[in-house]
Amino acid sequence: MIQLNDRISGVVLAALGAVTVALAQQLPPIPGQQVGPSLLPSLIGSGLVVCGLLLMLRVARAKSDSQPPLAVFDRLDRRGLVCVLAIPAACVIYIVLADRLGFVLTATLILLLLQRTLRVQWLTAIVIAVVGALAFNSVFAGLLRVPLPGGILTTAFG
Amino acid sequence: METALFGALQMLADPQLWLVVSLASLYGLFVGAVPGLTATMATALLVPVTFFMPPVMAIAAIVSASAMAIFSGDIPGCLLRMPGTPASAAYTDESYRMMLNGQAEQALGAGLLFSVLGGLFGVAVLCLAAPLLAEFALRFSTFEYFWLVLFGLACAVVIASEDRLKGMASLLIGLLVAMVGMNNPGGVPRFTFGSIQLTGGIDMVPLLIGMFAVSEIMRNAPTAHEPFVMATRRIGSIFAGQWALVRRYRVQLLRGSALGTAIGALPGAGADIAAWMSYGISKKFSAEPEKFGTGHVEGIVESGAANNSALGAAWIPALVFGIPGDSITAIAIGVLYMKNLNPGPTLFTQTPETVYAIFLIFVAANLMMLPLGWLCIRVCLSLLRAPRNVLMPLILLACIVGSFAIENSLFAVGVMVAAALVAVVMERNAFPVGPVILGVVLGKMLEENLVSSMIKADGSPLGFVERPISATLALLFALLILWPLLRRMGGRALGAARA
Repeated sequence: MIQLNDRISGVVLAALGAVTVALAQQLPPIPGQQVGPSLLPSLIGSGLVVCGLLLMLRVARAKSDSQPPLAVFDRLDRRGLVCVLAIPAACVIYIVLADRLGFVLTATLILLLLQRTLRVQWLTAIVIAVVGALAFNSVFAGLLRVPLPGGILTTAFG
Repeated sequence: METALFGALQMLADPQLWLVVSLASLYGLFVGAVPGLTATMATALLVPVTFFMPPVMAIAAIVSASAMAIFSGDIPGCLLRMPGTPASAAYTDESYRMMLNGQAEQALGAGLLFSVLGGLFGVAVLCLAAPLLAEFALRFSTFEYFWLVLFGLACAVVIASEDRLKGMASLLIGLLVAMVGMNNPGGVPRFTFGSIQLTGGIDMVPLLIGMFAVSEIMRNAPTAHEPFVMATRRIGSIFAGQWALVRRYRVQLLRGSALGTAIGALPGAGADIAAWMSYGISKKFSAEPEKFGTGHVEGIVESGAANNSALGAAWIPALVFGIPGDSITAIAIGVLYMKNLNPGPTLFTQTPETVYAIFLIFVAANLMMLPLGWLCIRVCLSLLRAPRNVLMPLILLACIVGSFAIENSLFAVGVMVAAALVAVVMERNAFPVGPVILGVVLGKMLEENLVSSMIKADGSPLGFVERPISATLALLFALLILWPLLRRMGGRALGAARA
């Protein structure tokens, strides 16, 4: 996956801090007081700048540029990367389609897509997707009264 | 106190409560036992469901699920050499070796029994210390709270982070997230970039689910289709010979529980640190340190007790000051606020029956761990065979629905995905995620107490250390952040003296 060098992390942190400080300065003060909503964000932003600079300094002072490897996403092939990215992609699909298709259809769709990406066999994947989506719908929309989007199934049958 | 205790017992007489506790326990055991699904994830995913419960029931569900998950994290550690939850990581190798030596029963049994004993120790300290501390804390003003929050944040960086610089950066990012929204001293939209949804601030729940659950699913995804290979076929009686262990290692049990309780009670440091430190101490003081790492039960006894005692003790700063002791109590504090049970010393004076009810549930959850944990170990071989590639998509759906349910908005689902991506990139680059959550939880409290203290002191920094308690807390804070430096200097002086 993405492995940034600590130097890049340092730059990103310092930049984030600088932007924070700059934006905080534009906040209006509390009338009649010396301190207001800009105080703590300015401190946090300055802290981030310092952290970022120290991180860059530490990389510069270290002899080798190598970073301790992490076991999380090491040796990830293209398949593995697809599996990892399928997870946020499924969430985005849900955000885009939920209000149009309704909960049950969207949930079935993303369950099916994800299971297939993770190499579940077709039959199992279909059964789990349909049963899972319906079960979630009855527990959350039925039992707990979460207003999950109804979508075209409710318009067609409701 | 008797009336409060009676009121607490009345609250607990509800059979529905115990149904919820049992279900939450089974859920906690299951999530903890599946490698890759952590106790924090179990707790985070439970929050949207507790949203629909009365306050005591909600806390009961969280307490029981988290206690069970911390224990059951030992199981995959022993059988697969994969800690089910970070709190088990300290002694995973040890219990795996024991399994290879044919002592899986003893390793799992010791994990269970000493989890229960350590847990009860931590709860006992919680019940005794929290009300006393609350009485003391009634005298605290914004100055004391300011130092206390700062102390908690510093603990997360100095004690709990391997890389202090990166821990600090994580913490600042968390604090920055807490700054978003209109809920600030000026009541002005801050860092909202014109978005209406952001004016209410960034909600904790989707953030937590994203950072602790969705990111775990992403981490598990590439290997989810591979079944685990287990080196053992059956597990016999786990309680055989445990009593002898209790007698033989009673010092270790007490030391582990006491250290775990102390670490847990520190704001910002929790069960996983407690387990690592206890394991180290156990080895250092052991009569047979050479056996450590070869499949020796002593370290499991001590650190197994430590991580569960830390869990109870972590609720001391959470209930008394609203400062979380670890990421699980950070979530619990969010739930307390959602239920209008704002943590703080007044919780003990205004609704003591609720506090006692929480204590009693803690005791009950630890006692229930014995039979339920036994059951879990009985079925764990098939539990570990659960197909993760089917489970992960279902858990993701639970994450989506859970985030959505808090505010009934798709925006929250977006926050969840963003948080997951940030968490994955951060972990990949060795930035700890725990301090982010601590920063988010404590950001508002830090700001309120900082700004009103500044106004009270009229901008004079002396005002922050004028009162005796605030001066003491300030000194403690200074000692804590100078500790790494002092230790290095001490080590150098010692080296010079030896030379």
